[in-house]
Formats: sequence, structure tokens, C-alpha cells
Amino acid sequence: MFSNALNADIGVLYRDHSGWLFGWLRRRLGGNTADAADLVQDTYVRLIDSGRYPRAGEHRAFLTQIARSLVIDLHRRRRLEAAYLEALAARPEEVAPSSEQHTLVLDTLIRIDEALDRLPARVSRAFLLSRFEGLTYHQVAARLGVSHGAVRKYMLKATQACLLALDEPSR
Amino acid sequence: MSERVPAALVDFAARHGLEPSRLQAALDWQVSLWSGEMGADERRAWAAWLSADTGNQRAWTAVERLAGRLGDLPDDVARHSLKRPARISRRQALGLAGLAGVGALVGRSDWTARAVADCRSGAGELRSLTLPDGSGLMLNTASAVNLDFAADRRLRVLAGSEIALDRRRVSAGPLRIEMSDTRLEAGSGHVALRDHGDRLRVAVLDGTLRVLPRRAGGTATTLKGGEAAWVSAHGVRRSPLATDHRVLDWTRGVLRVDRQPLAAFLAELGRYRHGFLYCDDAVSSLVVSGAFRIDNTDFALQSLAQALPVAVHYRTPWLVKIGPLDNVAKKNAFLV
Repeated sequence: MFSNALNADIGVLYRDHSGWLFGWLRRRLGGNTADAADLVQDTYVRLIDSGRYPRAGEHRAFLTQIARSLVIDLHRRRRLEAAYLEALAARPEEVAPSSEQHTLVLDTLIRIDEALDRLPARVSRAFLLSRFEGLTYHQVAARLGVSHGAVRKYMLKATQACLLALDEPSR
Repeated sequence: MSERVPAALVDFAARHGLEPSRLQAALDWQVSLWSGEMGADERRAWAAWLSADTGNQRAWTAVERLAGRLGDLPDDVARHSLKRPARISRRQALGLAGLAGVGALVGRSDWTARAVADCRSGAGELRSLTLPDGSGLMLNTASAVNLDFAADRRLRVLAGSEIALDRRRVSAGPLRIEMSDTRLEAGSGHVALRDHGDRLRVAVLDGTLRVLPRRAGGTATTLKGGEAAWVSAHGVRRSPLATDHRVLDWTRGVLRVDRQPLAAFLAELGRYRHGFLYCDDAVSSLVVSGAFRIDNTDFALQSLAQALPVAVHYRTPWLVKIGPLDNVAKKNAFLV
């Protein structure tokens, strides 16, 4: 389906579709032109990184496929950042993290959030209840209405997913 | 224990030079440890597995690193951010509300940068080394530095770190230190530095330390032996240095406190162990005094329970809560 991407071909894709893509993104981002402009650039960067080039007639479909996932990433980041800041605001000042720590916590949160999103809801619930609510597996089982063995299985699945997610190179 | 190892895990193992079956076993053990229900026999079995083979230990290190990074996520933040309102049923949401309201939490978060640093110490670990110019450097718990002695002599101290730098017998010129957003210049002398997040605590025991201005055109501040200061975006604020050199207690493996509220004490002690150490609001303002060994924080917690009307709850080895002493608490305190 794809041939190897060439810089010249990417140049053509940019010339022909970046303006249209900008408009498409701006509509999806509630008219925010700065975010739309950023994501246009990110879309092409990711296209180049993918090493793939869409077939004739599929150019826009391919670009919007990438752009759509970038919009999801952006919303995820904003949502987690807002929740993170809200949680920080509730803490005493002396435990406020530095900006470097802030970035790293956010990076971990985003990776874990993505990983949990790809898992069945029960699996991610079990993981959150165990890891961040301090529940034992028996308590998690009771809470979710599943067997103790199922909780173990969910935990193994979620732990594997997190291990892999934290190992991915950052984008 | 499952027989077939998933393909993605096999790839992970290959990237890290691990055997897939051992990695799978390490994950199984981690899941057991997280259950909060592990008995003494199972714990011994885990220890036996760990000591049976260096391959097991390497696999365990990879999995423990994940645990550390998860554990370093401040609990309240993770709970707050990762919760998915759309996916939680009303009944579940009501159940969760009952669990809110834990007391002061302690977390460290800067795992990734620490992992790749030139020199780092784990939680509860003290390290000392000699820099190429002869300076003696000590790292307190969960600290990390990058050295740049090739181009210019520079020491970069990563977020959340605490170090002591001894240059009393160094003849080379000043050493540039970058810490948080602050640049410092250590002359010959002995200094202790700690990153508190939004500000630095600097203490000069001997010699001089220059705090360089953040903006061009600003003026540097020179601190001399016996002086200490808080350094932040708002500038340098001098404050007295305790004359008994308490600032170096950690280099001798000791945490000394004098009439400190329990919550603040746990924040300090928690730096020396993995996971979270926190307390119930009901006991957070009890007053703690004494000297504690930082290489055995479990023992420190035991002594605490003897000195104060509190009970120590080990929910998992990484999640420890100090609560008020009552009958229920008494029963739970001996579960682990």
C-alpha cells in the first residue's frame, strides 16, 4: 500500500494539502489557530517519521488519520495537565515540584493514561484501584464484582502494558 | 504463571538483554507483591527466586524500575488525573469518594532523568565519589548529577537532589554548579545543597559559594563559611546556618529532628524509601523529636510507633500510612 517516502514527495503533500489540513484542524480545535498550526507541522513530522507515503487518492485521508490521533493526544495532554495542576493546587507549597519534575510526571501520566486507554475498562479500573487507591486484590475483586483470579490476570495485563508504555521512546 | 510470553514482551526482553521467561516471572512476582496479601512463605519464595539466578535479578531490576516510576507518581495526582469519569459507574464513583481524604502525601517524580544520569543514588542510598578535579561529592537519597569535565568543568544537579561538595583540599579553580534554574560557583570549601522544588537550600560550612545572577546585569551573591540561604526565582534570602552542622547529618546516615510535626517528619523520612509514606490528618501535627537511622526506615517507623500514639499500616511495602492508635489500628499494625 505504501512506497518509501521521499522528501520531494512530502514537499508536494505539504504544498497541496497543508492549507486544507490547517482548516480541518482548526475546525476540530474550536477555532484555535495556534494549536492548529502546531498540529499541521506535527502531522508532517509524524508522516516523515513513519517512513510511509500514501497512495494517490488517499493523501487527505492519510493526513487526517495522523492529525486525528494528534488531536486526541493534545486533548489527553491538556486534560492530564489540568488534573495534575488541580491536584498540585491542593497540596502544601513545600512539596511543589520543579518544572523538570512537572514535565516528567506529566510524561509518565500521559504514557500510563494511553496504555490504560487501550485496555478493557475493568483491567484499567483494577490497576488504578490497586496502585493508587491502595486496595488489596480481594478488595478490588469485591469492588469490581469479579473473582480474585480475574484481578490477578487484569493486574498482569496492565502491568505489562505499563512496562511497555514507559519503555517507548518519547515522541 | 503463564507459559506463553506475549510477543511485545519478548521484544522488550530482547531490547534489554533479558530472558523472556524470566521477565514474565518477574512480572508475576511484581503482581503478587502488589496484591497486599502476600504471606511470609510467598515472600520467602520470591526472595529465593530472586537469589537463584542473576538473570532473575536483571529481569527484576527492569520490573522494579517500572514499580519505582509508578510509585514516584504522587498518589493524589495519579488518582486525580488518571480517573476516567466516563467509565466509572455511579456506584463505583460513590465507593471511591469514601477513600478520598488521605493525609499529607510524599512523592518523588524525577525518575527518567535520574535513570540516565552519570551518577545517581536510589531511594535510601548514599553515594560518594571523587570528581576529576579532586572534589569530594556525596549524594543523598534519590539524587543524581551529570558531570561535564570535558568542555568546561561543570556539575549539573538534577531535580530533587541533595548533595555535599567538599573542595577543601582542591587546588583547581572554582567549579560551576547548575541546579534547578540556579547557577552556582563553588570555591575551595565545603558546601551542602538541596533542591526543594521551587527553591534551593544552600549552606556554606567552609570557604565560599557564589550564587550567580539569573539575568544578565544582575549581581552575584557571595556566601561565606557559616552562612546559608534560600535561593529561588525571587532572589537570595539569607537565613542562619545551624551551628551544629545538622545540614550534614545525612552524610553520617542520620536524620535528626527537633519538635517537627509528624507530617513534615514523614516527608523527610519518606525520601529515604521507595513508595509513599503518609499520615492521617488526625495525627499529622503530633510532634516528633529524635535521631533516626536513615538506612533502616522501617525501624525508624517502629520507634515512632513506640514514642507516639500512632499505628503503622503497611498496605504494601511501598504504601505506608501512619494513623491514630485505636483497636482496629492495633490489629492491622501487625499484619506485615
